[in-house]
Amino acid sequence: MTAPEEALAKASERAAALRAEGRYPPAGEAPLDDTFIDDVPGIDTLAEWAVIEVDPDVLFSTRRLGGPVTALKRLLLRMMRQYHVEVEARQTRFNIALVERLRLLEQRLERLEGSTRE
Amino acid sequence: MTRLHQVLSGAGPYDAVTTQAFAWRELLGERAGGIHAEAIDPRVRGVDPLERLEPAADDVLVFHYSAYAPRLRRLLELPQRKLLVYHNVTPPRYLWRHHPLVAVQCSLGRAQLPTYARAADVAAAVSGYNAAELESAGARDVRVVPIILDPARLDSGGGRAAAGPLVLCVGRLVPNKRHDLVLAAFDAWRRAHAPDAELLCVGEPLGEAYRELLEGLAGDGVTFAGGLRQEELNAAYRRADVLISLSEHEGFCVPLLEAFHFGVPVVARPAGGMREVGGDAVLWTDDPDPALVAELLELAVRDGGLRAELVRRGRARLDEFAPERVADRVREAVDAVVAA
Repeated sequence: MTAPEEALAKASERAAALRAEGRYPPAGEAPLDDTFIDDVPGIDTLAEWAVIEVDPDVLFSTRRLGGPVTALKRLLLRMMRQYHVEVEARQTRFNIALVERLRLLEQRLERLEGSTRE
Repeated sequence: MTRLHQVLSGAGPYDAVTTQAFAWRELLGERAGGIHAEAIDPRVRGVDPLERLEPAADDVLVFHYSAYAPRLRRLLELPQRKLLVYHNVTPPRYLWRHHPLVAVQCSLGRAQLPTYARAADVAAAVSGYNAAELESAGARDVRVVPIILDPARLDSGGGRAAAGPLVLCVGRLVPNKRHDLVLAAFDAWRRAHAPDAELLCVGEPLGEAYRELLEGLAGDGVTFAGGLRQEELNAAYRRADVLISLSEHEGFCVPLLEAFHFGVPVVARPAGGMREVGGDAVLWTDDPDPALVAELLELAVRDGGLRAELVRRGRARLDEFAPERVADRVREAVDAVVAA
């Protein structure tokens, strides 16, 4: 019997041995590792998010008989498409302009910091 | 008589916070007022909208805080005494790419915690880990009032043996729970030792896109069951050979206690408040390397002596969180706020 306190060391030893035999793949990054980001995202991430594009598949219903409710919601969305496209376009225009303005400010700040150091 | 009205940001059918609100109502007996939530899933019964909340001057408001809720925040301005119970809010870093709206809500939820902490007459948290966060947010003398696990709700449902070993993973399909790591570890174990093993993931997904992403990562033998009714979940525990959690953020982790109740060994990563709950009854690993976790699964499933010891220790942990003990802590917190 393995004591609970010994299990981790034993498992680690066995994992290394079996990995050496090729029975486990080499350790690597997990699929979601690079999807987690700091709570103050960088400028490139902001630029990516500036473009508003919402997948209609996010509309669904969890109610009983949710199928028809989901279909109705998506139909209404399609009927209002002209309006939503306009809203998305205006919001995207503002977002992109804001991100570019921020990028310019960062560049100016870098130049200023550089000249101060010199 | 002073009544205690419980308010939540949202009420869902498989939600731990909603379950707690019902457990508190049961415990409070005739002192219990209503349960009110800002958003109510249509499948939930017994919870009223916040608009229907009409507390008397001498009543108490119990805030179960787990998410951003603008209408809940307005209740802080009411003159009634307030008891804050902090269940934790997921750090948004896990969610920005997967569900921007929920990420924004989590970001705001964490940012507004100090407002709740300042407004509360008495502050409580479901674990020491949560209590530390609440103290950082400005609350003083935070009490730890763990989750109440009602064993009666675990009695229902049958259970039949699975064809091969069954690994159970219980928790919403959200990025911080790291189902991607669970899938990788299970796949490694299946290939190396247990070709007939099954993995059952129980929990509602963050959204359809996220569910599809996980389904794309899953190998053979994996089932995503969605949210299960209590008797179905109980049956799954009875069939399970081991519970796995590689979550990175947990305020408490109710499935640990559920696994102990059913005598199911646990392999887990000690995130947040989990170690306080699991103690020495879990095979912990900080390293989520699939090969290492696969070997822990192998030990937890095949080593009979180890299994028996983990089950024995699990029962002892369950005693630590016995409903009578937790009920005393709830009553102390309630008495403190009533006396405030």
